[in-house]
Amino acid sequence: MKYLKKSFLFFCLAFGLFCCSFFQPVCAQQPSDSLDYYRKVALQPQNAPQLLKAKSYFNKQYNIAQEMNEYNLAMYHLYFLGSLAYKTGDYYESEQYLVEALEFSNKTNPSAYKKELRKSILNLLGNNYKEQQNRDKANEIYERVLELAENATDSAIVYNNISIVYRNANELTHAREELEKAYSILPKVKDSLTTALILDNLGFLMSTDGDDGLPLMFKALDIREKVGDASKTFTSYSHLSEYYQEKGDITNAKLYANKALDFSNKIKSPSYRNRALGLLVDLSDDNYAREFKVLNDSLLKTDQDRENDFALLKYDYSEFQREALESQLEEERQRSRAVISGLIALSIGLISIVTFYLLRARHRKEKLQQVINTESRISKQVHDEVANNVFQIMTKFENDSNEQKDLVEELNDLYYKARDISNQHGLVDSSKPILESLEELMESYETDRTNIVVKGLTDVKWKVYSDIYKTTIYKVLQELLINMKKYSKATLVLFVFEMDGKKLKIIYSDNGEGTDLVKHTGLLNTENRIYSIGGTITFESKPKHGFKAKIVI
Amino acid sequence: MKFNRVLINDDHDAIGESVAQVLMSNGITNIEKTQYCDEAYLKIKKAELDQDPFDLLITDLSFKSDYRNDNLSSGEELITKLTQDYPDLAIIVYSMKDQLQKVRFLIKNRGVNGYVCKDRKGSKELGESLNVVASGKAYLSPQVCKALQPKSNMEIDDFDIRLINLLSKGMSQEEISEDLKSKNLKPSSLSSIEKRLNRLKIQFKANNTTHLVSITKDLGLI
Repeated sequence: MKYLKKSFLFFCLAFGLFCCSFFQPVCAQQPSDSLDYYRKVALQPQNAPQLLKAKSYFNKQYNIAQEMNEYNLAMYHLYFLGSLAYKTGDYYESEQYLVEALEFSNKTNPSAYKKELRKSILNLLGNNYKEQQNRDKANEIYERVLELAENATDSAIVYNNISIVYRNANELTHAREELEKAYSILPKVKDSLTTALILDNLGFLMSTDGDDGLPLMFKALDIREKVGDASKTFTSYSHLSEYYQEKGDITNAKLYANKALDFSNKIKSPSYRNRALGLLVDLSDDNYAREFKVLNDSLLKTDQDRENDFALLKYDYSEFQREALESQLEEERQRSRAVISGLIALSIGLISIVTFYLLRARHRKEKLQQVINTESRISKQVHDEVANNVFQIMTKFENDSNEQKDLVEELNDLYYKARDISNQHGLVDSSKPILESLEELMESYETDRTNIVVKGLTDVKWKVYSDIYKTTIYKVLQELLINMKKYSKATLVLFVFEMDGKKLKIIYSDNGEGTDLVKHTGLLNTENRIYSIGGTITFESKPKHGFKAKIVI
Repeated sequence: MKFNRVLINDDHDAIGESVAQVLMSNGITNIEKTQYCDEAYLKIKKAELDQDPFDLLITDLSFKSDYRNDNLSSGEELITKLTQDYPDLAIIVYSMKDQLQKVRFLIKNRGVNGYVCKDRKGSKELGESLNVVASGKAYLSPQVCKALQPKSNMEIDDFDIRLINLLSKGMSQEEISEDLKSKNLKPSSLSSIEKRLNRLKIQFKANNTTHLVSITKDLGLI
């Protein structure tokens, strides 16, 4: 039993080599030669110097991927960096790489590739916690990997990992149970090294439990030799050596310990060599040597425990950091959530305001159109029914006699009034360009007495204005002219049309009597018309000093 | 030539009657009346087919809308169709409308022969128009006779304003000419400047250039 216990440390080391060997890269655009090589180094290092080279290689690749915002690729390289750090025993560094990789995985869209990668990362992270003797954390992570596992190989590896966690805690029954779960699905496991891993570990555990695990262990050795993996074959040999030592078969124990030493030389790893030599010392007849070994092991164990404590401390620190980071992230998330909800509220507010104004403008336009329609209907009625009838009566009297001259005169006045009302409120002919209508309007007010001068009328781009605008402008100018004709006695009228930025500015100016600007209905109507299309109108007048109006639309 | 057969198209009975009286007092007795443009067109067409065509149409422009579906809802539409189909038919418009451009359009583009405004002198003018139109000339009531004169020139431009501005600085026409030449602005010849200023004086009713400056200043043009 004492050998078994000591061997756990070694077991862990060997175990690391198995992490996620099922993971296959899917990056077609990678320079595959060097990538393939370093990938193998990272997952199954055969000697120490390789590790350093591989680390610098993946570091470079990671930086490139990050610069190009290739998150999946960055994750991929981080995973290998984590794997390398794990192999060199720097669990803290490994954990950092892996946590960073998991953060990247949150930035990318879900894909089969990403899922696969995530599984590997989590598994490796679990291994890290396991090495740091954090059983709960490790098991929690492994459970998550198990959820992600899609095939038997994945599941078998996770079961193996969980089993090791139990073994480290000396809960051998649980450890065996986990491995038996893995064993039961072995027929479905396609990867031969994984099969070997399960067989070897289960066999070793069974034999410590008093069952015969030897066939399983030999089967594992057979597979590993066939695959030709040095470090794994070494593990098989050392397990066999420990098994035979346990059974008291020193000859066989020495045989396998020597074989393990051979392989450790091949691997050129001091720790493997140390392990192999340790096995041989255990088997040697030299009491001093054995005593030295026991003492050394216990010292090493103390060192290891201290290291583990330290690692755990580092881990706790990183955990603390992560929590701080997470709370910072959460804070930022909440802040951005607040900003977003603020923005949403603001947009809703803005949209409602805009909608309100649009609706109001539309409502105003509809109302304006209604006013215009009603006006023109009444105008036609005044024309057809009032003016025409007055005219009829007038003609009757005219034909009858000359005695009714005054009446006819008055009727004629009435007739003109009715006709003027009709003309003022009639529909502007929209089939005709507004320019023509306006010219006609102005021309019709030009008499022997009154000259009308116009500037810039033909330069206005009338096409951009809707019918309702054009009608309004027409009516407003018409009202100004009617006003002029009725009250001002002006002999000169000036219209200036000019563009003031995007706005149309119309200036009316006459040299008539002027008013004191007590507004009569005509001007009030004019104001209302301009306001209803969102324009402004200002009047400027003094008695005897003419009348001016400025319209901006 | 004298009109023998006349169609009166007006939707008011009393007016139609008074027109008929004017015609009769001018010795025309073959008169028919319609109250809708469609009816008028059909009557003219039938008369043509019967080889007893009308030689004059006196029509209003504005008609009350009818409950029937009118093909021709206004005098203008009727006139447009008639001048296409029966170009020999003489047409006198008898209307309350006195818009110059409408009158101009009907006379020039639609070949209407006479335009008489309905007012208290309407009957008298209508009588006169019969003779004038019969003699092959166009007749227009006095208040719309401007329609046949060339369009009055109301427009002024930036160049005019520049001229007045230079005048307001006390420059003589010669100096203005020099100034424009130095700035490569055209027209800059003395004669064209003179021409422009004369036109402006007429437009602004100014007796001389000083007056022109003062008037335009009062109007706020400069």
